Amino acid sequence: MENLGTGITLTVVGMGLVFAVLILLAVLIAVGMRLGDRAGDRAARQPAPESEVQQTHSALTLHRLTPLERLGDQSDHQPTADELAAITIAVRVHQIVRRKQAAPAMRTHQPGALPSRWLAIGRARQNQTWQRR
Amino acid sequence: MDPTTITPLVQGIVSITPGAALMIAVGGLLIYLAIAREYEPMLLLPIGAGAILANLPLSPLVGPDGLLNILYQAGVGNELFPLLIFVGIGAMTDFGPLLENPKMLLLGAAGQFGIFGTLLLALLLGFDVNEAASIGIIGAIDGPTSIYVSSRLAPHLLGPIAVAAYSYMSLVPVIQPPIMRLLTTKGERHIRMQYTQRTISRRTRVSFPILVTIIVGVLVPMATPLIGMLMLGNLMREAGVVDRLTKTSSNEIANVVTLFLGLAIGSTMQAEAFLQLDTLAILALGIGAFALDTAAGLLFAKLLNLFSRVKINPLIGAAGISAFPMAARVAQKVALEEDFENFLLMHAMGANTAGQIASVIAGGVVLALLTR
Repeated sequence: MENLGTGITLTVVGMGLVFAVLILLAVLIAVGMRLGDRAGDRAARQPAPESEVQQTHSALTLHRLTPLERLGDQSDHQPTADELAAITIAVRVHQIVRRKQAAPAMRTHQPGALPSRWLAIGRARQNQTWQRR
Repeated sequence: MDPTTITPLVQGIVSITPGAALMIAVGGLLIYLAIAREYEPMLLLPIGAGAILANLPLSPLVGPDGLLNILYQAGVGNELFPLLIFVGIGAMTDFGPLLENPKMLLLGAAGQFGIFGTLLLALLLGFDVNEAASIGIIGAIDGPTSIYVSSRLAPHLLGPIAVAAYSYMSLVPVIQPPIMRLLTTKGERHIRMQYTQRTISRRTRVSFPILVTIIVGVLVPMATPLIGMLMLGNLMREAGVVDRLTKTSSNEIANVVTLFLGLAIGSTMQAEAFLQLDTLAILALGIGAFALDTAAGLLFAKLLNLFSRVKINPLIGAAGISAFPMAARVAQKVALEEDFENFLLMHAMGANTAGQIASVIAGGVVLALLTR
């Protein structure tokens, strides 16, 4: 019976300690997570550095320009008329090659300019009145 | 040819005892369970092999300079192997679900009641306090913790305790579901829990293992080796800068140590030490420990529901044990049986990882209370 008394004491103290340590851990983790969330929110609210915005903007603008216009932007190097002509021809040839590679040989229109056969038939059928056969 | 020439040749046959033969059969059974049923094969296969090797007549492997004896002294007698395995476990565990919902730690704490409940039952059966605590630690459902604690408190019971811990761990999917169904109503099993994934910053993930080690180390110094190694592995994983160490800890080191640990544990299963009534009692108490853990987790989750605005499905309470990720999967499976669209897995994973930390702390608490 003496041993059993010791056992009961061990159980009460032991479970109490386990709960106490884990509750403390849970509270600390919750507080840490909340602080982490706040720090994250603060970082998200801050505007991006100006230089980064400018870089992004200029990259986007550059993407929309034609190769000739892109070259024109570079003030430190002015290509000659021959160079510009060569580059223009090269870009045009490249576009043609890409188009040939991406489309059947007999295609006469740009990809996407016309609906596919399946789509065309589907659209046509939508315009017909449905009749029971 | 005189009889002295023949004697060494038949020495093995004449030295075999019924007890040793029975233990060889037990070893064979463990190997069968590992291969045919895939019950914790990584551990049960080496344990079974160790048991057979240790019980072969006149086996030099268990002599003073025998391999099994050396392995035991090198890694189990000084608690090295369980601690190395903890580094690997830490390196493999993602504590993310727990960080998302730290309340789950309470379920992990409740899941340790089996340790103390079994301790009381063992005392009632006549074991002394240290033995009872070692048996109770089976309720941590954590092999390395069981080995670590029992090798310090009752090394003579190490064999049956390790066998019970590992073989029952693989039986979690069999032991838990009936208790889960018995202690919960259909309505409770239907409770759905919202899951919204929170982004956990790298800083939080990295500071978590450091914080846990310091807090637990200060509050329960006896748990420092266990929690320290577990969290070291996790720190390496989350830091992301020591991939080689993380991979080595979770693969090579964990695998090599598991093999050595299994063989060393198997070598403690020698007939004269293992074939005792105590062994049967330990095996029976081991099942009791698992059942008590499950029941305590479920009932504590139900208790939380009385005070909580957001209802918890009690099934995840049963996952607050260290058997990772099996217990979480079992909770999910039982929930799906009732409601095909009830997804509790992430909540159960949180409780399950909480159970891992809680079992280590409980082991440290037991050692702190009993080591003089």
